[in-house]
Amino acid sequence: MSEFRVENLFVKPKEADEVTVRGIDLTVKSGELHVIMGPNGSGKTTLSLGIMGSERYEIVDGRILLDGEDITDLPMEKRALKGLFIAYQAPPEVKSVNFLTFLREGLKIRGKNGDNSLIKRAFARVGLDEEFLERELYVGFSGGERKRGEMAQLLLFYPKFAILDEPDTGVDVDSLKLIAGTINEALEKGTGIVLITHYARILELLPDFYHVHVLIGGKFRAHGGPELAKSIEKSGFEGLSS
Amino acid sequence: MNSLARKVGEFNKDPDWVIDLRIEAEEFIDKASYPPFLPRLELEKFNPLKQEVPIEIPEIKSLDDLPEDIRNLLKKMGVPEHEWAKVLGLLQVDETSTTSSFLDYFDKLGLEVLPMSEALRRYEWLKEYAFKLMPYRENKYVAYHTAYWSGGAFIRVKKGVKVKIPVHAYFLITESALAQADHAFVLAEEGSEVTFIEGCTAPPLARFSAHLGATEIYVEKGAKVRGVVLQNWPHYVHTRPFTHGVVEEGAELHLVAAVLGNGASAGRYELIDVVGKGGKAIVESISFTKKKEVLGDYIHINLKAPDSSGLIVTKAVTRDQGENTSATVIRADKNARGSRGHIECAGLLLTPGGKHETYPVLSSETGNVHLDHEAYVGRISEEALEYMRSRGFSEETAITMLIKGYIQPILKHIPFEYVMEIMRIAEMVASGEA
Repeated sequence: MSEFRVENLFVKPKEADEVTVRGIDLTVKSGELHVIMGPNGSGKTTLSLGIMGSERYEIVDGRILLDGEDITDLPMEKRALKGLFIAYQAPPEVKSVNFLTFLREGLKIRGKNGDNSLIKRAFARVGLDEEFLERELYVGFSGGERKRGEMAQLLLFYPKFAILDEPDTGVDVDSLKLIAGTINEALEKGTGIVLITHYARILELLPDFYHVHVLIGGKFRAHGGPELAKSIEKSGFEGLSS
Repeated sequence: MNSLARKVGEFNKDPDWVIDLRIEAEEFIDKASYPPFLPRLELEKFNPLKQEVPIEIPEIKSLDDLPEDIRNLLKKMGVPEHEWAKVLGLLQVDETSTTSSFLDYFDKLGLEVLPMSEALRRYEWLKEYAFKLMPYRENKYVAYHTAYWSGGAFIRVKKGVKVKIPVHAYFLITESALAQADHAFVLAEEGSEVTFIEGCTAPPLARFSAHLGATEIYVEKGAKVRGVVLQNWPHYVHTRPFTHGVVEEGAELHLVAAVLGNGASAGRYELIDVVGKGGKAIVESISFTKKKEVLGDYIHINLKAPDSSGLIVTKAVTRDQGENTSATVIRADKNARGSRGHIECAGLLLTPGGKHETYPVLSSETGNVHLDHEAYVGRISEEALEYMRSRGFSEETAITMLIKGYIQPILKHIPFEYVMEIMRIAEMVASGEA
């Protein structure tokens, strides 16, 4: 059983003057699903990239712990190798890097065999055609294809903890089912998941033991279970901001 | 007449017409202009007859003195060790050794390989070919080359002969490293096919600090020639290699260059005329320019016949204070109806401080052609780097993967055994070791 913990975290985007994540506490254990919901501009992406260690963000205060080890100052790649994963909301095009090579090398640095059958299986699982493996990473991919690519990596790299930044935004119903299925599989394998979303519709496809945290203005304003998600779906974030 | 060119010609035992040409060219050097885009080299500083380099070069007296890269190369080629002594003969530019069993071996393949000066003595018909593709009036470097060239190989692929294995004219390396201005000549007769490899991924033991080699390539009707050029010059050498080719009907000339080290400065000039219907010219290059190196590339394809095509792809990686200028031209004349041309130039700057300039030029005298280009100069995308790091790749590994992917499309035309070495050099460039 692993534990991922964020303590009193304050994060500032480097090019901004304002600290947009202001005192977040969160504990996630293996196989747990935590859902962060919040309106636009509430600090969801800043929180996830701050946790992952993006150099575009600065940790102003607080600590990030993985199984008790302080990883607050570790570079991004070291966090990744310790078992932290982020599915980007809009992953960039990575020109010149072949998708298959990228995945094989990614498995290799995790001490796993870069077996093609494993990779093909993950692609099938998220409904991505194998032909995408021969392309440059995300170059010319649609938004939905990129999101599925991120989910395929979630399955392949088998992280201890994953932050999924709006995997459900802008995808059709079929994609949504595939993405939810992937999250279920990762949870069953023991990955602890932090799911950032605007919508409750993906939650209907997930097991109902999840925790909900409502992020508004850089702080958690409410905590609860599936019933909280349902009430937000019905009446929005009003009444939760104080 | 105290002509240095005459001296070189007499030393080489050139036929009279070659000596006359040398003297004409020598007289023109002062009047000749420098070609555009290539870094300028003050030729007055170099004595074509005097070997002068700022380092010690071991003398090669026995097999034990052979440089490691040459040994490896001979092994790779599968040359039995008892044959190496004959190679040594060539290393010493001893022309009597042309009876070497290598040459017999080439002969059996339908391939004639001779030292250039011997070929000029043997074949009078060469007068109609040799030095015709590159008139000395073209520029100062060609004039200098024509006046003082020595060494280099003559390669003839006989009509209809398809040479399946790449021909590594290993003595091209050693001779071109030894000579200051070697002259290579390739004639692919009708319907023949050949791939030749020139150079090596390791730096040669250059004995002159300036190299002005030149290559002429004739690709006759329906023939196919692929030339792979590997260059990694030691830091003290200035190079100005010139390649001129002519492509006849239905023929194809494909040049692939991997410039791994530019020495003190490098200026490469490649000019191909496609003169036959349906002829095809392809020039692809990858280059690494690092430290204080300066590289200037000028690649020019003339489409002069219907349905002909030209393709130029350059991929440059620049770091430190490296300076890379790449000028590429495809020109279609009034006979080139139905022809196509495409230029793709990419420059990747790894660190601040370096410079990359690209000048793609397209020109047409007929309406019925399709010419286009894409050019890109930039740093590696920060977003892409972050993304790779988020997956556990260090910045260095990520850059290496990006560079390898970037040059991959060109590497696939280079024989496998060199690709591994080029990849290793790419890693060194990515990490700043090289």
